[in-house]
Amino acid sequence: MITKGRELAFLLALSKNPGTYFDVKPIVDSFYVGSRAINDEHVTKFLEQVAAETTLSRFTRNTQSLLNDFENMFAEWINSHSTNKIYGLESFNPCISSGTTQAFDHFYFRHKGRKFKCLVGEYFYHLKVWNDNTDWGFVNSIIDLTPNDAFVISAPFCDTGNMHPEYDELMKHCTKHNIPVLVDCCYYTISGNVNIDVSYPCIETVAFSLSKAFPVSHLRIGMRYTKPQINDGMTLHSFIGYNNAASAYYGLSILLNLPCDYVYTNYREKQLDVCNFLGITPSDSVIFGVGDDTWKQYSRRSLLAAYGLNFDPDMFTNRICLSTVFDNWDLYTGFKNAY
Amino acid sequence: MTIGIYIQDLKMLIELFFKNIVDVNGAPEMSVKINNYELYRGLVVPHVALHCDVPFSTMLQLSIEFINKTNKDTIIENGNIVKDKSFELENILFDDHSLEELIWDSEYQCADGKVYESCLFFGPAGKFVLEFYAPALHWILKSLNEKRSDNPNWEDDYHQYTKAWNILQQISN
Repeated sequence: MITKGRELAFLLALSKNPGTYFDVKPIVDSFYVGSRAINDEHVTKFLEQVAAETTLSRFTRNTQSLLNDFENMFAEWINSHSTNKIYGLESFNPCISSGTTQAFDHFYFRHKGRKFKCLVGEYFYHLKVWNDNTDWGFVNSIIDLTPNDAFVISAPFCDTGNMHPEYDELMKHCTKHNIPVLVDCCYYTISGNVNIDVSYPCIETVAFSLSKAFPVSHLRIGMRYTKPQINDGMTLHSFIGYNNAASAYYGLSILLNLPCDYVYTNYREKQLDVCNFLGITPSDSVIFGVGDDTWKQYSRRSLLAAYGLNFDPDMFTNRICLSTVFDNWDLYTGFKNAY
Repeated sequence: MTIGIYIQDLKMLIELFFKNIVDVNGAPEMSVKINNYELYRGLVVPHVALHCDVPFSTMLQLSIEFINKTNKDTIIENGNIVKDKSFELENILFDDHSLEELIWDSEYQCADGKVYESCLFFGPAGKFVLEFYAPALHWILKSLNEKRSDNPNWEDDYHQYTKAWNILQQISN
């Protein structure tokens, strides 16, 4: 039930913002919304150290090897996850991407003549861009995907943090009907026991980001994988070494020092503990749980307005973000013990 | 400063904020009471913090009485008031929570029997009176929602906030 969750949210909000009910209520009302990375103490210290050890010239001169190393090492790092498996990534070419977003935008450009489709519960960025610029629709049933469409799906799925149960069926259908697909894997690095097959011929883009696993979202560290025949602006920038060297520097430092499953390994037990305490269902992505109807105020409904979207909030799963609880683990355990 | 001992129950902090304090023949003085129990008697200063114990869940009356105003304290020249011993109540906090617009759900009872609704100006001799109950936050949330209809879950919120606050105190010690 939500009651315990709200009490915990009030306690954590009060601990950081000593004040009145009115001071902390807005914090509590959005406490479990969103999908931000955990501010892990070890990671934060490491990133501070990485920042302290560099200078501007590292990003402005002789950057080619840095960019190449980051691009070339990323797939190996992804494939080193101890419990997740991704099949078929070796047949794609890497390009540095500004988060996953730049990869999305180029997918939209490339298929501007098609009708864009996604499942209900998909990342709001797509809906925002499509709503403003193009023809699009939700996929409520597999037959909603028709030959002139282009399809975007997150894996694990944005709405729950779990793999979408129809992922393979959808990929088979898209392959059969020559529907190009972008697979957004930004939750891959926060998930466990997930298997993603990207070898389906329909899949032309696979996108990754480090923003959900590590508190580096503003560095926009991402990687796009595309089939070899795709040659666009991102491919060009990759070829001539004209990408963001600062994000590549931090990205490469993470690849060299933090395992791909760092978040899953360090937070899975904590996630199970919190979910059990709050009475919510653990997601395969460790920063999330899924709540029953009493948790609906923490679905992504509050983000609809921020994205300028006008959909029924009840369309979305009550996905609960636990990152702030993990950030305040001692207080959480104190609360749990005193409860 | 801790003033007041009640038979029960809840500890409460009342903070009063005043402005435009005008001295004539000496500074304004006031008496602050909960029901008939005096919490403060003395000069009107910009901020007064009063700790007290109050009974649970019964209606209480906060009164702030202007106790040293006489006709001599109003200086009139050519039929106009040029200076007047007076002050204004700017805000009230109960346990750190501002009353917001609830401060206007009050009245000023003049010594001559006149009653002004929603008056925060202490000009005539008399007293400001506000009724509430403790826990004050419960009263504030309930009353604000009756006015604004913007927080239907106020009672759940109240219990959740209170429980969280109590546990935080417990685990911080």
